[in-house]
Amino acid sequence: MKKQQIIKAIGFCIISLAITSTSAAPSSSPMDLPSANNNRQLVQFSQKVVDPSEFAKKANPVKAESQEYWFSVNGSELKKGISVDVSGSDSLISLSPKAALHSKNKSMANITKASQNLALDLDLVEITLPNGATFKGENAMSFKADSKQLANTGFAKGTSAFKLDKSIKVKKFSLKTSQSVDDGQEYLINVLEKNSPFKLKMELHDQQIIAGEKLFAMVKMDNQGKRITLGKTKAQFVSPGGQIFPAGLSSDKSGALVFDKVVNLPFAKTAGLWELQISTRGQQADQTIRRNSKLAFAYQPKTAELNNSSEKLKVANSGLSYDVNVNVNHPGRYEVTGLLYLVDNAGSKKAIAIARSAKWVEPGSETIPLVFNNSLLPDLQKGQRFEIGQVGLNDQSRMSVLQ
Amino acid sequence: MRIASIFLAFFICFSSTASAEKGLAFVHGTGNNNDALNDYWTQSMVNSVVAGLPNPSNYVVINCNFEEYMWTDAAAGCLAGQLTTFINNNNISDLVVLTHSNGGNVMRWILSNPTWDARYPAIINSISKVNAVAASSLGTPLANAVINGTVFEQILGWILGYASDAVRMQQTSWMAYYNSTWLLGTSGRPALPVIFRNVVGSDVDSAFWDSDSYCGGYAYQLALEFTQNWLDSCSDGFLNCSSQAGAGSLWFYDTWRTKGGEPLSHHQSRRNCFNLDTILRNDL
Repeated sequence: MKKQQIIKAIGFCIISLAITSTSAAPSSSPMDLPSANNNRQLVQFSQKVVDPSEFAKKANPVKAESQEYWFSVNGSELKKGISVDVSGSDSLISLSPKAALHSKNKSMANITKASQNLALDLDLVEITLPNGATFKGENAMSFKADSKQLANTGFAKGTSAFKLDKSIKVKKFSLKTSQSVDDGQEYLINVLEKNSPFKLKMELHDQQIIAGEKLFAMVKMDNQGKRITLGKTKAQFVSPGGQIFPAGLSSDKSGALVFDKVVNLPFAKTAGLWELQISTRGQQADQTIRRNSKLAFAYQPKTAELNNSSEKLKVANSGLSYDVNVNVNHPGRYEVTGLLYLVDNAGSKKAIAIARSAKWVEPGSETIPLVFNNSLLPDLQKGQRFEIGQVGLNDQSRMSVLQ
Repeated sequence: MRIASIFLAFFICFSSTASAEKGLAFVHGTGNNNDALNDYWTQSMVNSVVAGLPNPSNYVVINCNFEEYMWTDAAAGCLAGQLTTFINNNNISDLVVLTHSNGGNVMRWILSNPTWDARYPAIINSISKVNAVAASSLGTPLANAVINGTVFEQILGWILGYASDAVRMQQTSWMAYYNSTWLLGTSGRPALPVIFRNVVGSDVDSAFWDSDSYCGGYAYQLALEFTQNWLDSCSDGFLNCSSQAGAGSLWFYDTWRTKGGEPLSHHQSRRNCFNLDTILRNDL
């Protein structure tokens, strides 16, 4: 009995540890992911192809150039004065209260009202230069817009913004407010420098990452082609739901920062894209350049794949059909696509139509038929034949382009 | 007998043609609209444009929630439902869709994903063209600016209190992803199945002494003049010209055809400013 109790206890411990480990780790099961499409109906569509080269699957690179940075401060810091680095004329500074952080009532109406009440009055903003010269309100501003003027622009409610007057040529200044704001109230400060020669350049080689694939990202800062070495840098992956994971970048010989490895992230439970977000600074002589940038990418599980068993084009009532076989690991709505080629007697191919079919599929092997409508089919001349190619597979439930 | 057969054939042919109807759908931009007719477009704009239809009552003003991602039931699903009802109830076989701003993206979602929903193929087959005014096809740096520094947390919602999923989606690198995967019609991608042509707004006039600055509302012009600081020199205050012309084909830049060669700000391009309504009406 005692032996059995010990075995039970050990088993209980093991199970407890397993549950603990599982609950500590974020879910990575595609079964838990939000579904963008639960439609059960088979839907088929075919159309003429104009330029077949546009259907070739290719990587989806994306680039960004940033001449801006943003950071958060609290009311106490704003009343004492915060340091703002600038590296070009006409810098545009916007100030937005983070009303929702401290509101007990999270309704949009309440947050909107709270934001307006927390808006910073630009007439109470004071700018002090390194030489001690101080400017109050619009005396330092070539252009300003208060929160009411920006209310219809799409910016966060309560945002006010101004441009630093061109005559003020400094590399940094102190900004403070004499407004009575709560010490703990947070504000987002955004500095946009369209006339700055310093640009943070960021690129992703592919925005579509299926689990197990590598993500390649590069970040570098240039001043009109001259490389600026990056100093303190914070790089993070941010999920669609706001979860943050550190992204370890490494330096290459050119002074750029690189991420070039298989991504190990949990699958997001919220619809939308992941982002790689960078906050960094560079230094050129006594000029500090602060920059933020970010790029989005899709990170999804491999929920199904094409079964490359050979099939043939068949004549159907409505045209030509082709059965696409798929192996599905997780239930969802899957779409197959395929190009129809007209092949002449010399073997030369020309894509003439594309067909798409989607339906709900449970785990296992399944056939999804493509149908090319009769109206798209030319009469075959002697020696000509039709051929199928570039068969693709998409997961419409998780919005993954699988193959 | 032969003459009777010819007459009968002619009658049948004419009857078939007469029963096919031309219709127009107004598709609004970002926002959750319950009364887009009055709030988004205005009655005078709609009345002026639909006067170009063979039957001026054959129009629908869409009211959907385009604060959501374009593929959701509330956005594309809602649009598909209202278009389907309109097409079926009015026997529409020649549908012209007029979109503004993000409405172009939601429409393009339907056109690019015909198998997503059983209603989509019939809608696509009914559409003769989409006239996309100030379309947000490549997104906008303004959406980047609105979202920058914000962290969406499911519990807290948007910390800065404004941004929506639609704004999030219109960030430039987000639209780059959707354009390269789920949406058709941009450079290097397969063409859309219907004509999708763009009207591009190229500037914002906000001079207080210029009466043109007051068309649509002066307060909007001032705000859009400021937001141009985040954009290229060719922009309508919300979108760069490159984004507006990013999908489909270019129909015209505002100054090419508007009265007095006036630019259309992002707000003015949904109003009967500078003969835009006349141009759209005559196109029908």
